[in-house]
Amino acid sequence: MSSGHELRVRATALRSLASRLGRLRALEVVRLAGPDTWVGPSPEACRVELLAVRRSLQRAGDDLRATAHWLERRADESDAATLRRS
Amino acid sequence: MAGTFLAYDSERVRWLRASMVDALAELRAVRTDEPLAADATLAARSAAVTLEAWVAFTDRLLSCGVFTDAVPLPAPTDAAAAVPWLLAADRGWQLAADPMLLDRPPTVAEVELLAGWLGSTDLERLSRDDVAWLTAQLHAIARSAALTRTFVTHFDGWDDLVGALALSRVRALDHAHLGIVDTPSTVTADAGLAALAAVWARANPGSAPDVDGWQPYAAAAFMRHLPLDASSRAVLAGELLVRWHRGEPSPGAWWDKGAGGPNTADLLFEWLLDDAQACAEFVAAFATDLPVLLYSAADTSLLHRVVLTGTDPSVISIAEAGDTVLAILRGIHQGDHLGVSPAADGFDPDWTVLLGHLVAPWLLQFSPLAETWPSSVTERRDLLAMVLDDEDALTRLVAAQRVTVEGLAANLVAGGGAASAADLAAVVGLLGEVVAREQIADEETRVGLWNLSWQLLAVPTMAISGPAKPLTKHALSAAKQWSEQHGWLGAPDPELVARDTEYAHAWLVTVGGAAMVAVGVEQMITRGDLPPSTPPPPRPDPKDPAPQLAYERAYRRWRRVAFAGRDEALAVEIDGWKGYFLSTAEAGRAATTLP
Repeated sequence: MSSGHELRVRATALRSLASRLGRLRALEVVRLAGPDTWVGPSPEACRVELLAVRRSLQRAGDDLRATAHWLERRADESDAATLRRS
Repeated sequence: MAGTFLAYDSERVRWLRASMVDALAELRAVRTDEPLAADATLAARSAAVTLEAWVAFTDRLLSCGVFTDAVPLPAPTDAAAAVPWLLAADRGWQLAADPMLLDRPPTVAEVELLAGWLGSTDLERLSRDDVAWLTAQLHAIARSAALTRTFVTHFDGWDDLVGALALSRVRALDHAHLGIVDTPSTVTADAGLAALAAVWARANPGSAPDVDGWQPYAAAAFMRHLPLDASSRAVLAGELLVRWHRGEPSPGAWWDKGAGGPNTADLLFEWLLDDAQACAEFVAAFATDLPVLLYSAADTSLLHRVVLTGTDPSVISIAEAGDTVLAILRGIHQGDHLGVSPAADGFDPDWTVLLGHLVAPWLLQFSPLAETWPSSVTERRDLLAMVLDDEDALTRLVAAQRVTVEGLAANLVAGGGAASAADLAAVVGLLGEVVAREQIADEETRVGLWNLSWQLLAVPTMAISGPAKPLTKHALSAAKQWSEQHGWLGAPDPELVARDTEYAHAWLVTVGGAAMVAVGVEQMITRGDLPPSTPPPPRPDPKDPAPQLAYERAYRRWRRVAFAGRDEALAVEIDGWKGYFLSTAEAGRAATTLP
């Protein structure tokens, strides 16, 4: 079983990655793909796909944070068990 | 194609592309060994793939000459055109002329693409706009030898494309006969076929494609736009028509069978009519295959024009007419090829008109004196009688006096002007015999025939030049008038006429000669060269079986009395008046052919 410290290190890495995903330019590029830039079926398809990309990356970030939170709870439980054993 | 559009601000698209490239770099850098982040890295890779595709799209867009070469239109001075320009400008847009509508030939690459696209697309789904656009492209290709070579190298779907355009034509016209007029579709299809034919003609001058496997209608609709020589037209039209007429693989297999509108034969006949010599060769080829010639066209007026153009004296020689016209008349007379009379089955109400016009220019060849056609006097008489079998046909022939007279004049020129008044009179006599046999009861027609006869008698004056021409024409006119005033309008003895064509000929010649003598005498009296007491010249005897010979004898007796003690020049002059129709030699010839 991983130690609480190890779990917190992994959780920190996941939060860092989530934070990085949240700053990706891919989230904002859709703002440049609107009708001010171009119109037509293909531009519309592009806008829809870029929105999907943003949602996908945002969801990935949220999932990473949730996973990090779960790891941190596991770490707390691990630390508590260690204390009980000592 | 239809419904697809794209408008963009090129500068903003460049910003978009640059942002996507930067975002891609970030996404590709998203890596971790943490197994619980596998979904996140997968989402990043998926996002990268999406962005890569749109970066590529913007690359194509920004490198496309159609858009990058567009020059913004300046503000229009016209108020109506300025409104959309101002609306666009208000939103930050610029308007440019549609580069696809500019008068610019396609590039070699575009021609290759077009040829490939035509070979792979569902041609029957082409819209009218598609065909109109394609037509413009094909014309542009046909104007360039290089582009034409490129197109024919990459395109091998001639039969499919021609078929699709021709089928749309059939459908449009089939609807039209039901009252649903779709003229634009017909015009568009024709324009497309013409443009495609222009490309073919540029690549293959003077030749036609192998159309053996094509629908005859499609082949006809295409070939009629090819500028082929007369012989090629006649041969190709003939081959196609025979296949269409006899070779339908199954009922309804030919698109135009049972459909409304012009059929294959109509298209081919219109094509032939562009070239009189082509008509002549076509008619000559099918003069002995009458079902194909006569039973193909839906529009029988086209059939009439082809036959009459192809047998016009200005197009074919007397000898050629001897083959073609005789063959047609023999075929109809024998009836072996037709089974029933075309007039009887009612498919062509103007059948008799066609036959009347067919023989009208060649009446001289039906003369008993003519020897230029390979046919006996009896056969020619019977064939002419068949044509004039009913009063309607004769009425048509009489009504077609201009055609008849002009045709005979052309005939005389073609024959070296060798025909004489007697030849024409023989024709008139033949007509008289036919009319007598047919018991023409209609007075108007009978008078019309009389007038026609005199017009025919005047034909030789067309070959006269100089001062004598108006004098001779005037004399003829006066002779006709004199004959009518003195009751010579009456037909010769019907029994004698019916027995012998030569008699009918002799009667007309005699009447003509006698009338001329009478006019000549009146003029001499008016001039004072003869006294008013001069005995009147003799009249022909319609009961005499040899009217020429009898008149000649009476004339000589009268001449000796009337010109006794007169200047011999006057007697010679009156002989000249008579000799216009009735020479001594002619009278002698008549004597040798008495029944």
